[in-house]
Amino acid sequence: MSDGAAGFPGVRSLFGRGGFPGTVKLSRKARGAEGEAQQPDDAELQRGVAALALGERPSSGSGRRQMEAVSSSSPLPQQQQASSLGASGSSSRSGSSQDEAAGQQQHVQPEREGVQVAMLRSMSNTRIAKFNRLLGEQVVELDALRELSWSGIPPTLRPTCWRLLLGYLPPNRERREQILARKRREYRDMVPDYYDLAASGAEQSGEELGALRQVAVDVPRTAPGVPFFHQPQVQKSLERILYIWGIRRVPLCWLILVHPASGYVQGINDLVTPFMAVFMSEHLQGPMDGWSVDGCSEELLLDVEADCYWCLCKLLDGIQDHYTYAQPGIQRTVFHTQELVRRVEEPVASHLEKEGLQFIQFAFRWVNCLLLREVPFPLAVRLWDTYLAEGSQLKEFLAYTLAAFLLSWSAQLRQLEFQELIMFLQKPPTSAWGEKDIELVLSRAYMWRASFQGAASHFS
Amino acid sequence: MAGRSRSDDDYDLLMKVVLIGDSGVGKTNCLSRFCRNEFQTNSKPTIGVEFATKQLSMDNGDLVKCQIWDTAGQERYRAITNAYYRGAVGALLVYDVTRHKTFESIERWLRELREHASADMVVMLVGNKTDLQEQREVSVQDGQDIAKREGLLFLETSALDGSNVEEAFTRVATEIHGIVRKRRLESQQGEEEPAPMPRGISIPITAAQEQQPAQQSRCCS
Repeated sequence: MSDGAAGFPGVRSLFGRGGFPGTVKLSRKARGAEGEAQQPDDAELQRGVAALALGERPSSGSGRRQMEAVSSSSPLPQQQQASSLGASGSSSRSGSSQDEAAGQQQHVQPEREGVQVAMLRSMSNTRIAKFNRLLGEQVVELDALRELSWSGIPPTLRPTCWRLLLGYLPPNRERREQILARKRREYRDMVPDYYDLAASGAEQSGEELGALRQVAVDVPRTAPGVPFFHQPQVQKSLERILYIWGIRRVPLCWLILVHPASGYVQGINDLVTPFMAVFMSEHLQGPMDGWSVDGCSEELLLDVEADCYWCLCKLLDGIQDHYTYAQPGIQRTVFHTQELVRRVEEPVASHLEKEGLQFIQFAFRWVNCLLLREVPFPLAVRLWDTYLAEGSQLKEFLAYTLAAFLLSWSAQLRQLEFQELIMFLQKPPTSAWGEKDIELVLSRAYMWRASFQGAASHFS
Repeated sequence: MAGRSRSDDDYDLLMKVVLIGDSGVGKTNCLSRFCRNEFQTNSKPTIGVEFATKQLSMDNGDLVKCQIWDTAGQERYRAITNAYYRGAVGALLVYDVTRHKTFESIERWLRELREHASADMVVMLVGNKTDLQEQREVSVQDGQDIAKREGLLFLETSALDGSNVEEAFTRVATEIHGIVRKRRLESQQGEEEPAPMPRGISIPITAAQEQQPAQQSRCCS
């Protein structure tokens, strides 16, 4: 069910309203008294329920930074576990609510939904309220938003939170609309200047031609399992974003514009997809499988495209040296990952070494695409909540994340020989993963960083 | 050797082969067609390198294990993928018969092979996507000519319909196997007992003075 290859069913939960068979009615009792946050909670709750009704796995909150929000999350029966975008940011404190949940069954669907509703209730009650409180401030406290977002952002609030976390939108609420409008206009002006000119075949340099060709080869091969990305308008958007990103000129200093250090590099096409999915979720309803942009105006699509472009710029600004000549940033992160694995689980490190396996042979792509290719798409979006919350610390945090990801299978890895190792690691078995699994990776990464912090020598 | 049941780990020769060529020419699909008989219309661009293996039986009964490294096509990845030429004894240099630009890059790829790979590596030029006949931009003759000039093996393939894919890999493997056998026999002249085929390591074909036999161009059948 949560297999990413099968069209990323978990993405249904992005805004699962249309995907849920029948309406969810919650009893007064089940809803509880939540005071100020009640209203927004209900909508969120229903969407989340719809998501879970599609058989997706509630989060256990194991990767949570704020442990205060987690009480004993009792493990659920296996069949109830599947990944979910919809349950993002939820901390399932279902343990104590299962009995109560059983009482709700008559109101919702038989059996399993009852339990899930209870979990979502707890998610909506605290976390969404916290998010809403933060986002409701005149000037959003970014540090607090980072802290909260680190453990996952509720799907409906994700677009706004991502924009804020990336610094695309200012924390000051009053200025947001104006800046958003300006940035979107700015992008719209770039389209004819860069893309249209190149696409028309006029005045192209060899470099521009090469960039356009490379982008054109890669766009149709972007997220092949997700039909949404293969609609003609979406393909066009992706092509423009990537091409313009690749050849744009950026200010070096006053009046001097230069090309950025790296042009378009394969894999950057993957990095746009979470932005596209999340920003589009503000306009399209129902499961992502059924998304069509046919009903969207050109204006709206261009706005989404502009947001994706600027957010991609912001993200890549922090990891530019991943894509410059010889990709030193990636090599460094791979090296750090290797050092961390040696530090944390020496036997695994020496086994890999004994088998002649080099980290660069499998971890290169992990860094290049920020693990997007290694986990089902809905989980990648969850992963990005944490990445974006890390902000300028992302580069450093990535090595910890990769080490934790690798060591998810430490016992198995030690049994494998070179060839089995490389086959295993180039397609790690994450198709059945849920948020709980990715959050476990993130929380281990967090712990390791905390324990190594200050001990800078561990990388030497 | 006939009748001997052989496991995955039981082989007579291990050889490392690299797949190179511009991005989007179908390297990954050639590999998945050869190793798993699979084809994906839109397979994700390869990042870094990907690895696959396949065992082949040779005419003399030897079992050869091909370790194939599929590389990313984009220029930017060259600095990284160069490292993967090390120890490779064969290469399939792929272009797309429907995009002339990818054919023009052959010279550049050959330069790179000369710089980073063993001089007597067995190289096969592969013109892929013959199923798209109506979009063809590179003729068979053009492919044959450059292969002849550069001393490369040559085949045209279609990863989509599967034609010639297995032949291309098998041809390279057979060539390498032949060279290794010949060399082994030569080195054993005067020795009483023939040494067994080396196992478990890739065999670099280092003696540069020995030119590969039968490096003729050949057209697709």
